[in-house]
Amino acid sequence: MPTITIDLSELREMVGPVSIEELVEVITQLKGEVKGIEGDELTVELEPDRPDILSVEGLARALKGYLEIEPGLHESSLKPLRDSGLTVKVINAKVRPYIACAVVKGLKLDDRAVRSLMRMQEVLHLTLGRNRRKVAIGFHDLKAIHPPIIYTEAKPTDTMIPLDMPIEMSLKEVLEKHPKGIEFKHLVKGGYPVYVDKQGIFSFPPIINSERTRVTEESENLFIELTGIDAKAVKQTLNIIAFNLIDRGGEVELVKVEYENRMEVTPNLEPRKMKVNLNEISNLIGIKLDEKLAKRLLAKMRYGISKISKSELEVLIPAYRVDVMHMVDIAEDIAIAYGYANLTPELPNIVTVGKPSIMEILEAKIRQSLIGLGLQEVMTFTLSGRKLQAKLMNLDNLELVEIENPITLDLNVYRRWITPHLMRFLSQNKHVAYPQKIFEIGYVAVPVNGRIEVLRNTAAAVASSKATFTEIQGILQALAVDLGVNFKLKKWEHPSFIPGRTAAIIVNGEAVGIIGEIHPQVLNNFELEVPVVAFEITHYKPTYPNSREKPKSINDKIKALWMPTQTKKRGKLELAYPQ
Amino acid sequence: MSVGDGDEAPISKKDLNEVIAHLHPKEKLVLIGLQKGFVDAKDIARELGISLDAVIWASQLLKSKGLVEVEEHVELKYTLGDEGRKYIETCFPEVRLIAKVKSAGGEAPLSELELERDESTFGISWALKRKWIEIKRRDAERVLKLTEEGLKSLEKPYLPMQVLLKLSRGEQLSHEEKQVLAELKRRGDIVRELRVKHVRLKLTKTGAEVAKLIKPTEEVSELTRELIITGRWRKVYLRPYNVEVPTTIPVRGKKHPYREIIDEIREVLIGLGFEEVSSPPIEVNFWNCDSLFMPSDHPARGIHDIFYLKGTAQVSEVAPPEIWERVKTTHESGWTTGSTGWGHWDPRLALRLILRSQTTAVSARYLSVLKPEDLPKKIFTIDRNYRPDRIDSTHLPEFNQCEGIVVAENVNLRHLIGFIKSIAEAFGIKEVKFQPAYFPFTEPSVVGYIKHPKLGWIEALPGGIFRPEVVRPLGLDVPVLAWGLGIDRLAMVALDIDDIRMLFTNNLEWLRSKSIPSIWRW
Repeated sequence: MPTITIDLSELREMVGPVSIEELVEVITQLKGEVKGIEGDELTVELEPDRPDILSVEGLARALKGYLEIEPGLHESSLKPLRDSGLTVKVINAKVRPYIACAVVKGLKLDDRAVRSLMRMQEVLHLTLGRNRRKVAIGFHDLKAIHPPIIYTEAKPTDTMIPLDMPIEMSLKEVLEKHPKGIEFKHLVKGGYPVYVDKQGIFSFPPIINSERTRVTEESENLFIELTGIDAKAVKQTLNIIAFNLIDRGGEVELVKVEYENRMEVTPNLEPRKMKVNLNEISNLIGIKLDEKLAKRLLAKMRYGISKISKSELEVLIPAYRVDVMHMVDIAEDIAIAYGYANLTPELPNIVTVGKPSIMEILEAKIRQSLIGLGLQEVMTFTLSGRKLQAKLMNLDNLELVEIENPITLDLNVYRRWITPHLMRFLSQNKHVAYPQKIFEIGYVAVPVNGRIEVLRNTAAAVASSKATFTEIQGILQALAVDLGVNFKLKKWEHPSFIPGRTAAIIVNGEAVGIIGEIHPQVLNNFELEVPVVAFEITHYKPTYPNSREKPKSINDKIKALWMPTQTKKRGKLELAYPQ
Repeated sequence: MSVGDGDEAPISKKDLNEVIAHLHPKEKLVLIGLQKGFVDAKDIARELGISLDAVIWASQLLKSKGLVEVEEHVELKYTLGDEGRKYIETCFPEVRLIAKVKSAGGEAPLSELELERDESTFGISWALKRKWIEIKRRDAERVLKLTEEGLKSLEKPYLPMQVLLKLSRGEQLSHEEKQVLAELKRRGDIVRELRVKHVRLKLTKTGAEVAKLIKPTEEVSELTRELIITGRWRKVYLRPYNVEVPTTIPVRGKKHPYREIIDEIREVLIGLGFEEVSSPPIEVNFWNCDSLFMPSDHPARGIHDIFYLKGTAQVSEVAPPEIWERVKTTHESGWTTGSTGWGHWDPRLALRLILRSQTTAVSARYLSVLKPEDLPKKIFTIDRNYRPDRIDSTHLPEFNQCEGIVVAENVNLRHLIGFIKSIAEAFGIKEVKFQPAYFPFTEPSVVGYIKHPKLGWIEALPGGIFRPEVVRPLGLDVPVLAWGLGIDRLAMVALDIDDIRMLFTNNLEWLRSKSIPSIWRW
């Protein structure tokens, strides 16, 4: 959400007298939110979809259209531009191969205007420029430039006098010592793209300009250069800047860009043409659009219209509207101009029957059963840590789904089983009355043979001075009756449970879970002072809506892939299923 | 109800039995006790093994029925006070005083006598009252002189002391001693007077007749199986409990309060004709972002916005080849959707495994298997998503989202607003206003603001029509209305909590004591 600060007085100079209420209303319609007004400064948070209004000039331009002060296509969309006579030769540009340039003459820059220019540059860098990686912008005082201009790769030892650090230094030193160099050196890995004229290097994009071409209040004519890794993006960004400077009273002139194998002339401020069908737009929004209304609404949003035939319009999209990609973008603008508040809500005449998902139906039964057995439902994180999942549970090692960019080290894996989270829950309630009986139903994820299997598990635990295997077994049996499932217990060994008091839960010949008395080492690890008995089962294997597999539940045939168990041969934990 | 008073004509047996039928078991016990000859209520209580209060209460009832007479008198008893007990040990101060004067030769100045505090105050004043000493003034000093009387008194026993000793032994006082007691009562804390109430009961004539016919009732606390099936319950008295004292709450099972809210929301949506779907939260970038027409370099795809897992998926596992190709071409040049496309696409990024960051991925997957003959279709999902947000009172790395889509011919923006409004209405929210919004995968987009009584207008209901660049590559060509519900926010309001972390609390006491919430109440 880019936030911009604009001078209210400047905005009013450009638009005309407009009240705060009108301003706030139109900004809201342009998807913005007025965050604050302090003195003359207005802070607005906008959406990234309209980079053209991220500056006072662009916002003023949009306002004039919406308020019908100056509706329709901006006049400069159709005015041919003069040739500046400048040519920029592109030689051997590898790191940032695409450029776009322009000359702007006749600007009267005061302190406020220079500030606006910098804000515009900053916000475009941040949004369209993707933090300068995609596009970088340089403003230069034209009178300090001495053609011929070449854009090329320099050597690290070549020198320049960078802005704000007015001593001659090598480009390598700029990357090492200048704050902008340090911040953006990763964008020029291995290269040194520069603009050079007769007097030497005057720009090192995207890093920094030179002192020589610094723009001040005295500057009347500017040379603007954009560089980047996306040919379309550099041109689009230049278009936005050009229109902003035109609205400031400048005259934009063309620059020739001579690549090694082609020639371009920038900027091209001509509008794009898109054919739209009025009936389609009407159907999309749900209003009746006739030609007259459509024209007015399009004009409010500053589009032009070139051809009309029956219900087809050819819309002229201004060059600064880089966000318009499809007819639906124009349709939304028409709806905005119409006013969302004027759209009466309606329900369509369709009848559908609602129903819960199979997973939820099953889990509602599990929930009902366990609540009826006196267990409190809890909800813990699915994100977990290796220590909680393995070490505290007396397991040496466990294969876990790992997150590359976790926010903290103890939330850097996806849980493989829920029981450790129940143990942690119990350990945080040592001073609460016993018995404590809890359960959770939720997701677990297991890496299996290079894939990740996601399962839905149910885990239950009882902590009390009288907790025994019999008690948790009784709960499991009651749950099985309620789900209509037959199960067998097979004695099993698991480091988290007491040997001789542990069993695997077998349904339809597969191990679906484990049950037992928690090992006192684990109790010590969690600083618990009463015995705990627990079970965990996989009750459902979910699938993606577009998967060819069908989901499986405990009533079919399902496997507890999360169950680790120690094999006697190797010291490592492996998946091994009871036969 | 008064049956018979004192000495009236004898009453018939039938009437007597009626009286007995209306007697409380405690009344019966007292009547029996009086038959045995006891008179003082305290004695009756002790013999019957019941409390004095119960006896007195029963006797008031019996009195009102004319079966006993109740006499109350108050006895004055005396015990030693603190000073009294002290004087038993040390003697009265006036006696000690004259003893000291005598030892000093019968006359001495005050300063030379080395008197205790009480001797110099109470001792002197009482010795003067008894005329045991005289006080003279000599050289600006007070001089005490023992009198004849005083000398003689030392050889006799001191009556007040006798009284104290008798009181301490509980002995009766003589008439003369009682006079002394009156005097002692006025002196500090030497004796203390207690008013002891005695209640005496006496059977009236009718009472005596009734008492003869009574059989005592057994008092029990447990209604046993034996009592029930034998009918013996009619003959015993079930001891009453103090029903007004609270007891401990039993350990019980309960749904998690957040789950309660989720289930209410599900009910509403199913009632509106939406079908529930779900999908595992481990996703592929392709479905989470690319199929939703988010460009490969969209700012919300970085490491600060999505949890990346170690590993990638295979193209063949991710999507059928047609869909993969169509999405690719749409990104690069718009394919046949009528869009300009983004001009680029990163297939390697699309294959990265991630934790799902928005449930819209579920909608995309679902759309990819919908066929035109399945329409119209309304589906919803409530499920867990993940974002690497810093943890604070409004952000968690894992959270729940609710969203749904309406897939049908000829639906439009007004229908979208209509749906969002009807969902809000189903929850009792009548005021909703809509503003333009932006989401990368919908156009046009809206956001519905609802009016909260305390917080004012809050942004709560996002929605939009899926872009053709999303829907067409997935094989459909109809409008798809999409809407979302911020259920974590809704749950926080319904649960009356202002910290999102409470939704996943480990506080068992809070969970146990939380009353069952409802989305309808707010």
